[in-house]
Amino acid sequence: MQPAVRSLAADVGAAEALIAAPGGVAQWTSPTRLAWPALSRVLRRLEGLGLPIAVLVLWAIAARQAWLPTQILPPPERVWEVLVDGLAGGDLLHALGVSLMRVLEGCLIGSALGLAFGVLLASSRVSEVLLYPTFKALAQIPTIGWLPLLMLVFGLEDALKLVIIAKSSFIPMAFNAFEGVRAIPDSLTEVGTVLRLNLRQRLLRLVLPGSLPALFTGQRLAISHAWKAMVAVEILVSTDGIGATMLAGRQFFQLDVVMACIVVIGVTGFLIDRAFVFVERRALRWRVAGNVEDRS
Amino acid sequence: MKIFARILTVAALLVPLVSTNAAAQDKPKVIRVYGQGAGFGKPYGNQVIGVLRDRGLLEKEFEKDGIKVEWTFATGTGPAINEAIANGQADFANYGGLPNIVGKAAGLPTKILASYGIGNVYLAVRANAGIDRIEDLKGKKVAVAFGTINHLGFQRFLELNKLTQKDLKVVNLKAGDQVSALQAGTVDAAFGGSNFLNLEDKKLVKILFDTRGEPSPVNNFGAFTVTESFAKQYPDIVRRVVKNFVIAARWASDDANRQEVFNIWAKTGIPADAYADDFLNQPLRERLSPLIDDFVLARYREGVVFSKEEGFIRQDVDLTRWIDTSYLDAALKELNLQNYWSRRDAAGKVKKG
Amino acid sequence: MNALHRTLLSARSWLVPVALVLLWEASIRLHWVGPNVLTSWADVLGALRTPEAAEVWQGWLWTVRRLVSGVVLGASGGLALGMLMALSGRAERLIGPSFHGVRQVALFAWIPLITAWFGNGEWGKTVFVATAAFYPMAMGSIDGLRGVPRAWREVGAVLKLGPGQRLVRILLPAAAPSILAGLQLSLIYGWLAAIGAEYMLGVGIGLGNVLEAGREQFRMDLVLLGLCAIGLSGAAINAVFDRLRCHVLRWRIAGAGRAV
Repeated sequence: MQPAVRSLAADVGAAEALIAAPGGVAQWTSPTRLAWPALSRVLRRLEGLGLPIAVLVLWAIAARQAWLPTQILPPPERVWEVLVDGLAGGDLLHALGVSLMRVLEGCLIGSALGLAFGVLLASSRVSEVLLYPTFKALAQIPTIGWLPLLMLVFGLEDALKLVIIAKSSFIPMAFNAFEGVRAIPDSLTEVGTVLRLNLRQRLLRLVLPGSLPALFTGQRLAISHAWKAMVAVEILVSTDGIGATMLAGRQFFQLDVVMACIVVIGVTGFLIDRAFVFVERRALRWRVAGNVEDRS
Repeated sequence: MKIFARILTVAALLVPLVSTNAAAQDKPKVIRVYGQGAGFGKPYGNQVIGVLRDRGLLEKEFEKDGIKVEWTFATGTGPAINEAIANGQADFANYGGLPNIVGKAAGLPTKILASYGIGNVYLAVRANAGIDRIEDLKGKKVAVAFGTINHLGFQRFLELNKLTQKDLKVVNLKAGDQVSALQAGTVDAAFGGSNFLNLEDKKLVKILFDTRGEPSPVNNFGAFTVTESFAKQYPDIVRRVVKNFVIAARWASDDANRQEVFNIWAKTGIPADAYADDFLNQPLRERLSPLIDDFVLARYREGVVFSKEEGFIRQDVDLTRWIDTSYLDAALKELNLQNYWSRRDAAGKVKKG
Repeated sequence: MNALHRTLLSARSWLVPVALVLLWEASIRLHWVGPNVLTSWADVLGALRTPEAAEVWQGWLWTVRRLVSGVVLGASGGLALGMLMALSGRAERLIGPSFHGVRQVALFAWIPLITAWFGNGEWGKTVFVATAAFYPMAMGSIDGLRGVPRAWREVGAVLKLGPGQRLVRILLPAAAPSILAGLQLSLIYGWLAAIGAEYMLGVGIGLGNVLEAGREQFRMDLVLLGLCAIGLSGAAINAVFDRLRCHVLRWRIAGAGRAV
């Protein structure tokens, strides 16, 4: 919202300045006409909300008129109540916390391993030839495809959850680390050789900073995939967490709980992604400047 | 494009398609019966409903009317059956008390016609989990299927033993997954039905607690139900179905057919020996009575109170409006079986006279 | 570099998979892993001769049926919405945020809602498969249609083609590779969703049910046989579509060259 409001003010301010300028302005332009471009910008942003609002309204009407029985379509106020109670009262919040912790754990492990693997792949031609084709083929299988096999090996318990989440973070991180390291310009690598950097120095001062944007993308994808994987696996093995809460809601035929959980899952996933984009932009600011220097 | 967009917006908001049963004039084309699955995914059931299905009584009864009978034994048991009823996919449903109550409180239009019998619950403990007494359960991982009648039994069991859910780590697993988890060692105990007897024979688990013997408040209970709309449209069909239910119950209650009954139930995947063990020294008729006596009513009453306390349901259930024994009474009269099964009081003791 | 040399070089990429298979066999033979977890390849192949193998075959057929019906439903919806969003700026602004917002919700999170609204039977499973197939197709169509080079669109304007003709003769063929990629992903996710739906929605015949039954009865050979069927089918889908996309791209690459 901020930019639109600022520019609205700016437009009006500019109009005032124009009117107040020495020499004056030939005609008086009404502020509303000047405000129109800014307003239309605001309206455009809000257009995206049109559909959700329409759906909500239709939903409320349908529930009130009982077009569908209430078990199947709980009224939106009910879902809102459950959401607010759950988040404030703690049940949903607690479950969300548990799920987030689980995702963080798994993602940390998976990303760390993925980073190491990606760097390994990029660093040596031999390892690339040996490992890359298998890795690429296995990476094609989506995480849910691994569930049956991993269920066999790990049974239905916490270890399975960790492995699935770690695996889903591993793949994007490994790919991005691989690409990122490969993309480091040869000139920089040569500098490293000339300066006779040892392995640790190379990694810390050359490889990591050099591949940072790719690593950020990888991490963002990793955590996004981890969140989705967590939902799938929690529905399968439900002990605690938001997926388990949703499943219990299904068992007890409480569709309002189910819907509230869906909202929480979707919104959390979205917020995690946005948070990462924000951090990425901030952290990579130096990068842009660096690139400019590089060209010259 | 604008019109297209509008059409698409409306289409996207399309009401979920609930399959409606386009009713024929005075006879349905098919009668759809749901029962709980026994955990192995086999399309057979146990208790009276299993016998009813296997002996083909309904098929024989309605053959001359040209009405087909469709059977589904849901592996998701109670909760899945509630979903089927909500979607208009079931006409008759035979399932446990807790999902009965949950469904009814949520507004599912069911009517209880008869009791489905009394079931036993078992607490199976992994052989080397170091649990020798019930108190040892504290801090251990216990599996139970949420929303099923076993869940209610589990809560009552905890109450009786002065434990709470917070003392244990409770895991929500279906019956089949419980067995795998016990074998793999990923849970320490599980609370469920007679499918654990099979594991005890294999020395994989110890049965630490069960309800064999006298009926108690921890026993499983449930009902044979019908949807209100079906009953309204085809009361005569309901009458005939209930009659055959009672016939099946009578046949299954006869100890002369004992082994055959166990063999029928064995088609669910749980061996006949396990069922024999489940019914050790107990006449079949004690647990296969379709009567809705004080014992069953007390269980349902307690179930409603309990469910409300635990937050499973949000509103009360009016038992008098829900239970309709008129069909059962008519069937008993017609078959002259009014005194075949004994009526029990609220505690489970047989009423004299 | 003769043929033998080339074959040996490409064989290098097979070293790791072969090593994994050997590791598997070793872990069974040397009892690192119990028979309740994995079985050897011999057992899996032996399972083909058991009577249950017919169930696996039946299950495969049913799962394929569900895949087809679900993907037809979901992918057509995805294509329609994708076309709408790519070709109409208005639609994109109206529907876009909701579209991407709903995309955030993981596929499996829809199961409780789907079972409540559509039941546990065939319809519920089909809807779940359709949900899985919807988004990849929609994204593929959006990317493909938005990526049509301006020059080609201008040709449409120059030739004074009507909007329908422009769509059929220029836009869709141009977007074809991307749409095919979307369809491929739809099929893959739909395939896995079908298995998942069978597993979570119980009753019925299907590969997911084979897996579940096998697990409960500790018939690991059946489970692994089922997994092989699942994996091979997925690989087959990928292989067929990779070929198809190559074929479609062929005229594109040649065309692009000539135009310059």
